[in-house]
This record gives sequence, C-alpha cells and structure tokens, in this order.
Amino acid sequence: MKTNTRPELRRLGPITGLVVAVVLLIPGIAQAGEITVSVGAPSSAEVGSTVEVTATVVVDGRPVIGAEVSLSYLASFGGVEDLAELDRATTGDDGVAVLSYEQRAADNGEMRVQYLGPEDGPVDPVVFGITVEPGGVQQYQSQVGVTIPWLSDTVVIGLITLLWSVIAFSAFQLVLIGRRGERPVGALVRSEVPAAAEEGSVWIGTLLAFAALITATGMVIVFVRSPLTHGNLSDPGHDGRTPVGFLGEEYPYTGFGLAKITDTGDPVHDGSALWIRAGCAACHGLSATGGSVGPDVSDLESLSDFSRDARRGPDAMPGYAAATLSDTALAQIYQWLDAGSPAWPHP
Amino acid sequence: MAVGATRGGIHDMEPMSRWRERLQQKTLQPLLRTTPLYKAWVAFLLMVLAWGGYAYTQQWRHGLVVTAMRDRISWGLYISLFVFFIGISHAGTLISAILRASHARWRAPVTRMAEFITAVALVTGASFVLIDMGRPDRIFNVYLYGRWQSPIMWDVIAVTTYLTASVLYLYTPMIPDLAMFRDSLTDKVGPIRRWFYEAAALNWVGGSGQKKALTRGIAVLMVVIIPIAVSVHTVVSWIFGMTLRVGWNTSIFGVLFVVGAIFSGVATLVIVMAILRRVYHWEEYITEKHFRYLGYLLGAFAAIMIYVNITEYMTAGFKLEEGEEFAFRQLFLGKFSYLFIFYLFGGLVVPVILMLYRRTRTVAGVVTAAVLVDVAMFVERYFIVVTGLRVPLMPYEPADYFPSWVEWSVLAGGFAFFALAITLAVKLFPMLAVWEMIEEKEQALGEDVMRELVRTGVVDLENPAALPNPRGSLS
Repeated sequence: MKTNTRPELRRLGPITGLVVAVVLLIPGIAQAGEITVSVGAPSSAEVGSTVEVTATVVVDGRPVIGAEVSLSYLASFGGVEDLAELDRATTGDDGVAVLSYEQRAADNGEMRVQYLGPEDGPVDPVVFGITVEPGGVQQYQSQVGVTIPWLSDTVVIGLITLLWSVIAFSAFQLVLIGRRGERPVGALVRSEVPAAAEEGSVWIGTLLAFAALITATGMVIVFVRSPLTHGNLSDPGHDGRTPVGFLGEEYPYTGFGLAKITDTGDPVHDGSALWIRAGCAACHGLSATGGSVGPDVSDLESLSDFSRDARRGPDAMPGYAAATLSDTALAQIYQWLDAGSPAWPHP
Repeated sequence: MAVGATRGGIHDMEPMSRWRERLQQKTLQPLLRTTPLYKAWVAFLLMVLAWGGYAYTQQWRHGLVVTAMRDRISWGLYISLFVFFIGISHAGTLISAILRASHARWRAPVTRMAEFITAVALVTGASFVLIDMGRPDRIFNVYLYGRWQSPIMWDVIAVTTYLTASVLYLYTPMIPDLAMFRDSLTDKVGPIRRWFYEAAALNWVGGSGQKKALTRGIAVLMVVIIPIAVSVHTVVSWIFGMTLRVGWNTSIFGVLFVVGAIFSGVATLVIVMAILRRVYHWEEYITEKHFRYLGYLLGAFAAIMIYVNITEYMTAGFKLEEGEEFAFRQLFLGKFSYLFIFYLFGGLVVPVILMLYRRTRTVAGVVTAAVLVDVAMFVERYFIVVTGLRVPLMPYEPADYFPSWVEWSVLAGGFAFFALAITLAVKLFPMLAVWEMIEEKEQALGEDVMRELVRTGVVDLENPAALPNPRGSLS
C-alpha cells in the first residue's frame, strides 16, 4: 500500500511504538511479582520407561493456575542441533504441570523446561539433565538368526542321503547286469569271451557302484561334521551375527584392544598387551600359534632363545632394538607366552 | 530310409535286419576310419590346449595377478565360463531324461550325444572353479573345513551329485551298445580297446534279467536326475544370489539360471549334432525333424528367457533402489550396453523369429539360432558376473575389468578341452543309441504292420479277441 506521509514521519513510527511499549510495561512489571518455574525430575531414567517431569509455576509464593510450560531437549542429528519438544502441559490448581515422555534416546543431553505464558514470565528456560540407564525395553530389533524348529541340518542330511541312496540303487543295477551275464539269451549274440574278462566286467560294475556309495557317504560326513569344522575360527555356538547391543549398554570387550596399559604389574597381562603393541600378533597371530606369515612361537624353549630371535629377527622378521622393546618387555612377553598365551580382556 | 519314412507302407520297406546292420555299421564307422582331417583337428585342439596350459602355468607361478581380477572385481572370465559350462551340461538332462520320461519317440538318436555333452561340460566347468583359485591346493579345505551354511558348499555337493548321476546315466543306457561294439569289433581293434569293451559291456547278452536291471536303472536315474539338474543350476545362481550385491539381489535368479542353462544346453546339442551328422554322414538317423524339434525347444526357451528377463529388470528397475541405477545405466547405456543389446536381440529375439517361420526352420536356420544362443548365453554369464561386482559398494570409482591374455588363453584351452573330449569320445564310444533306435524302429514297425493288417481286413478291431500280438509276430 502506498501512503503519502513524508519519509521523516515514517521513520518516527517505530520509535513512537517503542516508547509506548516501554511506558506501558513499567507498571506491569512493577505490579506483579516475579514468576518462577521450578522443575522436579528424576536424576536418571531407564531406556524404554516413561519419565515424568513436574514443573511448578509460582508468583510471590502463590501457584499460577493455567500457565503453559513445555519440555524439550537439545537433539542432535546429522550435525544439526536443535530443540526437540517432548511434551507441553498446563498448570493445575496447585500450579504444577506434569510433563511426560518415553525415554528413547541413549543420551538426552541438555533438557529444559520453558515457561510459555499466558503472563509474561522468565525468558530463560530451566536447564537440567537426566542420566540415561540402559534398559530392557527396546523397539523391535532383529535377532541372531531365525530358528525354525522343523528345519534343521538333519532334514538336509536326510534329503541328501535319500537322493544318494537312489543313485546308489541305480549304480547297483550295474552289478546285477554284470552278474546276470552268464545266461546267453537275447538279441545280441555274444562272441567267445575269455573268463578273465568276465570277472573284470563284474568288477567294473561293482567298482562304479561302490564309488557312488563312497561319494555319498563322504557328502553326508562333510555335512554331519560341518558345524564343528570351523571351531578354530569361531565358537560354533555363535556362528550368527554380532549380538544385538542395547542403547547405552556397555559390553566388556574380551578381545585384544589397542592395549594401552602395559604396566599393570602383572607380567603375563602386560606381556599380552605388548604382544599387540609391538606388532608381534600381526604375523604370529593373536595367540602366538602362527599366522599366514609368522610361525607358531607359542612354545619357545627359553627366554634367552626368545630374546635372541626377537633382537636378531630371523628370516623375514624385523629385529627389535632395545629402544623399541626393552629386556623387561621381552621378559614380560615371554612370560605371557610361557603361560600359554591367554587372552585378556583389554579395555 | 529314415524312421518316419516307414509310414508309407510296409511293402516298400527294406528288411529290418538290413536296416539294423547298416545302423551298426554307421555307428562303428568313426572308430574304424581315421581321416587326416580328424588328426589335424585333434592336433589343433591339442595345440590350443597346450597354449592354455602354458598360460595357466604363468598363473601358477606368478599368482592371480597375471589375470585382470583384482580386489573390487574378483570374479571374471573363469567364473563366467564355469557358469556357462555347468549350464551347457543341462543338455543331457533335458533331452535325455525329460524326453525319455515323457516317451518322446524322436529322442533316441540324439540322447547319447546330449549325455556326453553333460558329462564333459560338467568336468570342464568344475575345473574352472579350480583354475579361478589362487591356491588350488586349498580345494581340499572344502571337505576338511566345509560348512553346510555356505552356498559354496551347496554348489560342491550339487555338482558332485550331478556329475555322479550323469556319468551313471550316460553309462547305463550305453551298456547294450558297448556290448554291440564288443561283439562287432573283436578282430578290428587292438587288445586294449578290446579289453575295454569286454569290461565296460558288463557281460551284457541281453537276457531278460539284465534287461530288467537295465530298465530299472535307467527309469530310476531319469527321474532322479531331473530335480538334481534343476538344483545344480539353482545353487549356481545362489552363489551370486546369496551375496549382498545389487545386480544379484533377485529372487528370480534361480529360474533365470535354470532356464538359461537348458537354453544354452539345447543350443550346444544342436551344434554338436550338426557337426557329427555332417562329418559321419548320419543324415539318415539325425534328420531335419530332430533339428526342427530342438528348434521348437530353442524358440520356446528363448521366449521364456525374454519373459524372465523382463520380470527381473521390471521389478528391480521400477523401484530403482540405491545402486540399482548404476547397474541399469551400465547395462542399458554404459560400458556393457553393446553386450547386453546383443544378448537381448541376437540371443533371444532373433532365435524366436528364426523359429517362427517355416523358411528359416531348416537345419541351417536352427544351427544359426543355436550359435547365436550359445554366444549370447556366454555373454550373459559374463555380464552377470562382472556388472554385479562392478557396482560400487562404497563411494569409490567403479573398477574396470578386461580379461588379460592369460584368462583368454585359459578360456581357449577350456573350449579346446571340451571339443577334444567330445572328439575323442567319438573314437571310443557309440555316439548313437543303437539299441534304443532299434527298439523305436521295431515299435514303429509294429504299428505299421498293425495298421496294414487292419487295412487289409486280417485283424478286426471290433473283435479284439482275435488280435494277434504285433511284437510277437515280428521277433
């Protein structure tokens, strides 16, 4: 819309508005006491549980009825941080509003209760924190494999056995053909056959039949023993996927981590950590039983043998100078090896 | 006269005994006469095989680095060839087992060749898995540490079962013909071959007990070999399908592989049949009718292939999940488009068209279609393997793969081995199922005689009690 007011007058408008607002506000602030918001919240919450947070709004010690408050937390996703509102409530006769939410996140970060009105109140929110405890109730997560009771390796083995029995049955027909060859009747007239060849004929049929039978047995054996054959790589008990981890839950790490602690005082423990840190495990394997490059060194004769080899570096192995691995460190590693190279939980 | 020509009437027919004698002569002919051309052909194949062998020694010495396969595209020509040859091996199953089970009369002259193709192709295909391994000595780990949870293990079991069953299925119906060889060749071949036929014929004299065992063996095998063959190529497809790869992530893969296998198997059979027919003049037994019937099969399977391809690419392409876009682009527009377009049109559409018209449904037409199909199916195996691996799993530049000279040479060696095995088998085994052809002929003859008797009023069909036994009157 176009107005004909002069520019200097237009500039005057906002200034006048500001002056009017300030004049009107002064008695307002002076009139009412200060509105305060206090929050009651549990110090910790379990994942999956419903959490209640109370906000009490008072002015001059008297409850404020019908005040609106909101509960939110500082959410962070994909590098963007913003407030995510969890709940909104109005205070009752006692000036208390109950805000509730279901604990889903593993970490709420900063939580805040904000006074929203209707009267003018505190601008700054009440900031507090709730520690999140790992809990049992989760949204649906897929399990480690699906076990269908009737569908087992026994069924598979049974099918293969059945199939190979049929093949073997057909193969034994060859034995029958060979054995029944003594009655010379039928369309194709035999010429004179040496007795030796006759024996050979039965022999070849039997051989074929047994070859089929042996292959069949082999197949079944491979199947039957298969779940245990990789015991050297993983416990057959869990040849599934990585176990499900619950939010906020801590799992003790049982493998070799990036071992930092090499001076716990326990030489066997420190030796195992040094074994990783010095890079021995890269070639000789985690339990020193040999890898694709390094040989099995789990049962060395003596510390002096061990130290000599470590310093010298036989064949393609690099030699370790005393600056890298002290004599003490070597002794610790040796003690670990001597103890049967046990695995330690490293943090 | 061909089998079908006897229908003209029984009076202008030659005696059965003379027909049978000629058939036996024709079957024995390849064994008795070795032409210079045959020797040259064997020499050529041996040379190619030797070259492939030399290339393989390079791989043996320097490792898989002499191939073009690297970390990102780790399967190439070898695995394509493995899939292709296992596919070809389905020729024997389909022609022989399905046609035998459904009592298709015309099958007899072609079954033996089909069964040979099966056995030889299986051995060739399986050996390419070994060739693909950087450490072939670790093949025993399959048996020592095999886990049945692994699709590789399923494949080993399926292929072993199939190989055993197909060798049995090749050998069992061959016993009467081997006996025929034993009886006819006693004084014409050397002692080693004579001993071989003596031993391999399993004392066959054609007694009723032997016939019963033979029939039982064949009947059981032909039924059991059909599901085995289907399972083999399904499992081969699962080697891909059970891997988390965009292009292979489809439930129709098993069907696509089985249909493709039978498709390429029939095509290979047509080619082998055409060559042997030409070289050994078996035109009387392998007639144009056989080519036409196999041509129908080829055309029908081409149509099924078109359908399966459309369903596969429609479901994946409509949703176009992440990564699928790349797979589509490289197949339809990018690097592999010329291979893909050739496969679609040259390998699937053209064969259908060739089989639709009577003018192109000739021996030459069917053979042309078969050659196109075989080339296209090899191309298909190649782009399935390579394009699947080429789709990047992480945001990196897509890798490139082009087979090295070693891979091409070993490939040539593989084909040479296949051809050589068939070529040598012709010199040792009856390539025509003589006894089955005789049986078929006798049956046809019996029907002709019957028809003649009815026509002339000797037999009254309204009064079946007076019906003489047509088979009994002949033998």
